[in-house]
Amino acid sequence: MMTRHDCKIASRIWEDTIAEKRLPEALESFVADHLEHCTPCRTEDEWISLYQTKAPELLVPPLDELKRRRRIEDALARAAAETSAAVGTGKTKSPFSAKRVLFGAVAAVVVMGLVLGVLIEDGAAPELARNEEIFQVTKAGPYHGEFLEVSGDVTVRRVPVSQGAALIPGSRISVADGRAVLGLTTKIHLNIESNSEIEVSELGAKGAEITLNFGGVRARVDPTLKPLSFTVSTRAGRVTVSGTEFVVRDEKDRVWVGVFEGSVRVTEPGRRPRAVSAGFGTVLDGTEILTALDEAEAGEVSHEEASHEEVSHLDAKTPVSNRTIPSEPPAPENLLRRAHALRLEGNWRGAAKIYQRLCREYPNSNEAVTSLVSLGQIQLRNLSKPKAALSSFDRYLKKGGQKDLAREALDGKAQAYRAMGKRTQEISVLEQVIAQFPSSVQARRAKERLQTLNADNAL
Amino acid sequence: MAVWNHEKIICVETEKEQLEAEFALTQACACGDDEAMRRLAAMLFDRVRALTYTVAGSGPDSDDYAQIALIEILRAAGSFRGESSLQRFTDRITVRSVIREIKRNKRHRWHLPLDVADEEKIAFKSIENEIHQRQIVIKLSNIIQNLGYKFGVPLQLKLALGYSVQEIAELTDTPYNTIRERLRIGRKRLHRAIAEDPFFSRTHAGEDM
Repeated sequence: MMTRHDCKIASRIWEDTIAEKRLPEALESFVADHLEHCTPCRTEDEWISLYQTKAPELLVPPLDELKRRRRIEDALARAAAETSAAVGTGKTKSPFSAKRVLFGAVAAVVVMGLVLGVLIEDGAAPELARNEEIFQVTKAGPYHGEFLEVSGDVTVRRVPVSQGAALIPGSRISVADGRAVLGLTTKIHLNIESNSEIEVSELGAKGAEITLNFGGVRARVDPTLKPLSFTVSTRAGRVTVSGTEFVVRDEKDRVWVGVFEGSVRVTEPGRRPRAVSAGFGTVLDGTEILTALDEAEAGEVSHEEASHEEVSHLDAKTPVSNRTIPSEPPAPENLLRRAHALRLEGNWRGAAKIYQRLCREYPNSNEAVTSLVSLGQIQLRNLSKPKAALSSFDRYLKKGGQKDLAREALDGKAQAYRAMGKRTQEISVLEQVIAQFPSSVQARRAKERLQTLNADNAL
Repeated sequence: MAVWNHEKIICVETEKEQLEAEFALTQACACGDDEAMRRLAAMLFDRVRALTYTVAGSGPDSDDYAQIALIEILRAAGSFRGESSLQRFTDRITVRSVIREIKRNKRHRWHLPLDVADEEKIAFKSIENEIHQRQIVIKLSNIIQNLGYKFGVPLQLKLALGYSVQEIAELTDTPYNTIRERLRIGRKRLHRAIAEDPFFSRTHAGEDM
């Protein structure tokens, strides 16, 4: 039987007390008297009291020790990474000095070792193997990851990241509108496309594994990676690679992989692994088979169910029709790709030249407009040409480029003015950044910079 | 003056000593002492998580919010001046951070931890008081979260975390009188929801208890 508690006498008083309104003594004693006699009101009062004392304790789901430790380690690593990135760029005021952060990074490695030591002493041997996975990323060695390039809206668990930030296993990286290039160990470069999300599942001595939740990634793997492995997991299967350049894209109705260099092994649930070699692409749905990437010749498919050992034969096969995989991208895209590659190699001058050529030859293409921001950043940070950088950023803003890169461009403009020593203009641009993108990372930096400038002016 | 020493666990007797020890710990964090940061993070993690779940509900993003808050605390450790307790300081950062994340995340889900059928099964078949208490707390939390950000968050801050109207106004960047009014309306709606909720009606009636 349902009953309804309709008494409103105490309720009105509770409304006043919660709003911190003072009650006359007589009224308080009246309420106390009422609660004594009215069961529903008394019960509600008891429940609320219970809630006040026990809510924070009872509302939290339990977390096992391993996950708890992992989350703490994750937070520590990210706090250190964000701080070091900020210090590295010299733009953010931080409670940590650069020297201290360097010391902290070294200390982190030592502390990880100590924690492992303590675990062993505590007799936590059964958990050691799993814990090792958590800690190994911070050990000295080639098994680390970092953001080599970040532009636009790139976040790790909703926290915006900047270039140089460190990666740890379990990081979920979302690229909304922009791009991110990751370095996983020293031998894997991963370019995450716009509107994509990946998760770094593993990063350690055995190699790296990422999970593509949606969108696309393009990977370039150094052939000397062996015997380490690199795997991209998708909802439709796994793509394992060793020494190659390839792309995996999760579209609405299919997941496909295209290989530009070397070969990859594709493993789909319930099927034998098969190989895809350079110049070919395939859909991971268990039915589609190899199609050529770059030559639109008619022909039948030839490599279905090929085993991993057959990789060497695949290169010799005749390329087939191109029904599913796009053909060689148009020239602006090629130029952009070359510029990115040079940028990754640290060849700034070469990259800048390619970007400039792209802007000159295809001034109205999307690639050219987008590349103006990258060009500006290289000119500013790597070639020490703030005036040229300013011009690049201005051109991007005039062309009304993508909104998300506008904040990068404005931020770059402010830095260019700073490098040129033009304070008034810098302040004006910083104010624009804050006004137009109030919740962005750039706005936070702009506020801090403005504070510094104001403090300097006051002196 | 207390000095942070990671060989020892902070052991204090008076409130002043406690504040000094906390201040020393946060200063060590600000200086990049990794062990101090680790200790601070481990010390605060459960509290930060509890606050996050109280304010943001038990939706799928709450653990992420808690982690963001913890990172902010680690970064802000240097600005702790030791005037109020460390818990008060970190609570404020946590609540502010969680509120900001809720506002930023347009897909934030408050989440209902259990459906009514499950609650009734557990609540009325068990005579263990602790389980029943947990059910009441979860159910009340559900009701408060269902009041939405406007009324739910101030009510949670007031009831579950004991913040004053003034503090809630500061934390949520909302005028004092607006918060008072929201608390008043929220409490009224909470009363009405309790009155109409079958779970509480059955508990009133004492069925199967």
